Amino acid sequence: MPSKKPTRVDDLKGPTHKRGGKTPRAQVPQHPADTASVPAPIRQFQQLTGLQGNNRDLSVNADHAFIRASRLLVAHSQMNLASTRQEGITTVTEILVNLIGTERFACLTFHKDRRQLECLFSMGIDDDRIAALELASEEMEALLGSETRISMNGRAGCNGSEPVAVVPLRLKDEPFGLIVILAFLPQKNGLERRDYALCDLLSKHAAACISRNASTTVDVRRNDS
Amino acid sequence: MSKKILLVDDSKMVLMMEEMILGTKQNYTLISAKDGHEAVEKAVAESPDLVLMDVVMPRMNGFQACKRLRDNQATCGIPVILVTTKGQEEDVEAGFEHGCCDYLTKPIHEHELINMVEAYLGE
Repeated sequence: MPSKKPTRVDDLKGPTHKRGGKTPRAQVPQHPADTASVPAPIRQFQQLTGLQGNNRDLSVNADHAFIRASRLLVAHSQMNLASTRQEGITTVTEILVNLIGTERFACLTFHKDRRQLECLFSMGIDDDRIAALELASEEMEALLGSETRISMNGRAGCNGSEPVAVVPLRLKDEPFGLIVILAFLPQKNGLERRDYALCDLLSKHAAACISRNASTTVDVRRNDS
Repeated sequence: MSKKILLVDDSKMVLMMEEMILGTKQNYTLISAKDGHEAVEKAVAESPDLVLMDVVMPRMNGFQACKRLRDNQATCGIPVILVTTKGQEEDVEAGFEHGCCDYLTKPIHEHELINMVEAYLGE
């Protein structure tokens, strides 16, 4: 990789303070015209986002915020775009693999009548393990209505017998099923803070995405509005 | 001057995410391809300044496409960064053997991607 331009020492220094002197106060506009000169839409944007500074700073900060949110925006839009069940399954799989970094997982749905979990789709898990997950209904059932549950030993590279994360799925405020994550990709050390927002998004929208048909889509959107 | 980046991935989601991240930089022109075969064709036709390429793709995988680009006189100088879920040591070695310049594992960390792209484009 080509070497980057070295950082100047001056760039690393924070604001300089004189020992014993007064703590410098935050800069405030010196003249009423300073605030008046900020266009109303920018002021509104500053109030909404808490971002301050001149136009260039605002633009940079907005770019950073946008970049940070990109995974959520992409996942959300792709789940909304999926128009068939198969597209929904592909989308959820891509979120789990490419955006979260999951290597082995199963998506289980809960049948109220049979009071049992059934595997809807999975990746990297053999049939015996899936059968064991389906039979672990009692334990899993307790998780159906819960918040995202992260196992205490939720690290990549564990032996895979214990889920590293379980994401409960809901459809129209009803428990729908679970995404059981058994292992992350080798380069992933475990769930990161930013992954929780994605798991939360999956919890709220994945069920509608993978059970999608015309009536489901319409019902869900009507409920949202 | 605008720099041209060729994004190659069979996943619409990954392409969209890379476009969103790199799209915040106004001086980048982004083009995309959905497999290795299309990537080689577009690289010859468009002469991008940088290629970001997935490994596991239909028709032609990222390793094969990387080798094709290296073997072609018109594209041998274009830096290729492999962006993939395959993070095992042997995969990384295979990537460099096939001529990639760098290796980035998924899930993508947004600022890591930007920093690497900027480093290769001399910014």
